[in-house]
Amino acid sequence: MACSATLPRDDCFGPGRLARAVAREDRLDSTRELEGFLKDVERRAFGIAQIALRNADDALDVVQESMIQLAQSYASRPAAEWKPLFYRILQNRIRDWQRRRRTRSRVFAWWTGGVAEDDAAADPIDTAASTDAGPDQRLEQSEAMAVLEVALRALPARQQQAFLLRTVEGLDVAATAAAMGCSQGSVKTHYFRALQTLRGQLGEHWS
Amino acid sequence: MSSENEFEQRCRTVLAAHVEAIDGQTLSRLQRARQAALATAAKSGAARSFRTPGLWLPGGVLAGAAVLVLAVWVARPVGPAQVTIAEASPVEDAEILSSSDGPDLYADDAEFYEWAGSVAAGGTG
Repeated sequence: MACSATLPRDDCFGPGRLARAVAREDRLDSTRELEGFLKDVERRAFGIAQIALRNADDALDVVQESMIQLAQSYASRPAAEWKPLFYRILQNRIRDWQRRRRTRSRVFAWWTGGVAEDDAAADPIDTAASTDAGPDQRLEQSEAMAVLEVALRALPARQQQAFLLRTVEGLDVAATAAAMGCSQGSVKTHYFRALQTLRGQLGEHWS
Repeated sequence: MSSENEFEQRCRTVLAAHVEAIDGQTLSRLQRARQAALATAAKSGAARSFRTPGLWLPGGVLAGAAVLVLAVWVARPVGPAQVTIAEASPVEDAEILSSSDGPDLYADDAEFYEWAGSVAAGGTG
């Protein structure tokens, strides 16, 4: 092809440069798509991590690490796979943080001769914000969340994961199973048990 | 059953409201986290592009062709000098080198040996 001033620059330098330009364009598209995905999930991911870790700073760190790992290792995978992959990474990170925190807490308790933080935790329902505002008065949204948050934190980890992934992120059973690394049957069981427990605990507050 | 669904729906609504109510400072930190992740993706994407055959294949083919041309050019048969060498009988060279007289003897009396050789070939004295 003859090179003229009217042709785009890349057309003038043969297949190598054209291939590079196409690849660069693909990368830009992929980056934009990834940015859209991360922007879409970041709030919910933070919400899930905050409930699981009980700390906003830790939750932010975990979400950032998960985003980076997704971008680093799985950005080239089809976009449809990103969500279960991202939440799988997030759940693994949350579990790692919880383990580290438990270890720190035990070491601290042994060192000071006291009781580990987790062991000393009071009944979460007792520590929730009071909802006795009156039988005719509806709960404020923030109060409802406070009670739900406490009840969620009291759930076993797997039940909490299944419930949050399905309820907050809206993953279906198959995607939740992929994110949790377990069977769909296990997801259904965890979710059902979580729902039953929450209902039992919150029923009186939310009635 | 319906009350179960209602409870589930209520949980969804409360959690969605909680997620939407995240403060500006946290949102800003989430945005920074996202940008950091995208920068990482850009770096690893650039590294991956090097491994993409579509990009280095044309260059590799060109380099291979250049090496081939160079090899053919270096190995091509060259002119008279080599022909001269080829015309000298390797058997004669071997005889001279393996002779106990040594090559200097032949160098000193080259004309004599040339004459002796022609006489022997012609059968004349």
